[in-house]
Amino acid sequence: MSSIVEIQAADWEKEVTQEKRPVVVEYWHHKCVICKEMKPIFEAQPAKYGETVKFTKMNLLESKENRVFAIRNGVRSTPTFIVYCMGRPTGQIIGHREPEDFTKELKMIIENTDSCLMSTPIEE
Amino acid sequence: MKQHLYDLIIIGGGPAGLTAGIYAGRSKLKTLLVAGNVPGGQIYLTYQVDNYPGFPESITGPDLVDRMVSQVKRFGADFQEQEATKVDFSNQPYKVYIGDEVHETRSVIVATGSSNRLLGLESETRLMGRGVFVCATCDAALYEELKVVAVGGGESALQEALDITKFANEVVIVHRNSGFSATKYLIDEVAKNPKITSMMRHTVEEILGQNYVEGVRVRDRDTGEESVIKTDGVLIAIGWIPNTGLFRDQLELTDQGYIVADSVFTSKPGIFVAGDLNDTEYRQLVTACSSGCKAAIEAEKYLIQTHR
Repeated sequence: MSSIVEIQAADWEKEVTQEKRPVVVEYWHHKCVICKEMKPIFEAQPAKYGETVKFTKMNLLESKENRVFAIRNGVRSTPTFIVYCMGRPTGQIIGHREPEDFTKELKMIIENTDSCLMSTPIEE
Repeated sequence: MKQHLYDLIIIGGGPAGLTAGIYAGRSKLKTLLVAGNVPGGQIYLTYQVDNYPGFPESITGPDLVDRMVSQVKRFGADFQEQEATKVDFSNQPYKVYIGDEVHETRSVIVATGSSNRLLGLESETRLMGRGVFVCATCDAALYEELKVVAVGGGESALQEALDITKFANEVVIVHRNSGFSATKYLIDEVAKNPKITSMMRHTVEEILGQNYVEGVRVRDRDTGEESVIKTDGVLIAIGWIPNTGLFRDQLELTDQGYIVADSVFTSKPGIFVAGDLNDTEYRQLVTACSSGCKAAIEAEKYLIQTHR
């Protein structure tokens, strides 16, 4: 299974903005109940996309920088999943979803992130 | 379709259900604990537990729940992290459904607890997760250096207001009554916290903001005068509603939706109730554990008298 990269606000440029493919970021923390519920559902996603989409997560209790960064990006609840195209948000899912609904909703957002998809070599 | 026959099925994975699971497992009852998607109940949503005996340095809610779950498993109860979807208490053996699975049992402990009561405003639903929140443990971190209005005046409103000050710069408690209904310790902690101010005898009429919370419109209950408090977040902590939807046609309920019971005994033999559902007065972690213990002991007595 493809992995989910743990990122910090300080790595944003490298991990998210400079990526040529869509990047999914889960804003989460370990005391968040819904994050725990959504964990297996989110972890099942990378395998569906191979290398065409990058999956990451940012722990908001890890540092104040992460929290302030998330707040500036409009995050007001955990978990919030935001899809970015070269650092620009293209859609988000806030809170709990059933597995099928989450998969479907995320797929729709990723498909709408076409400028990123188009610039991603299909052979990859 | 899988089917099992248990001595006892415990529905609910909060402190009451988990304590019942420890006692039942230890008494060698063939027990299934249906704990819900995330075990722990209300205590899982608490940052810091200061009043549970044996933890002088305090413990976080999730840590305490993890310990309780290990303890239940140690004594051998079957443990399912899923929701019960239907029950049939019409005849013995009683039936508890988890999706397609049916589990039969000779006795049941109902400990499904309660959920947050909401204000019932359109703006509250629209802005939920966008500044409106019900769980400080979950979302307080997203108010780092911001301002939050906490609505409510009970034990949890005050505890959560205090929790939020670990992150937020300012918390305003809006409460409809003249005094808080909480322990003196919490009232004193709130009073001496420089980040917290209180607006008594005010009600929240509307939560303002398009995409995110920007403020709340409150009304002074004495003068009728309305004013707007600018804020980044609104915590709703105005009490609970019992999680008894599953039992509506199966057990006798009060007008408020609680299960009619005498101590831990419901109106049906072999069906017991524990935790917040059985306690509208104290609602403490230890009282939940206490009733879970009583219900498990009574379930065992019932099984000995009727089946063994």
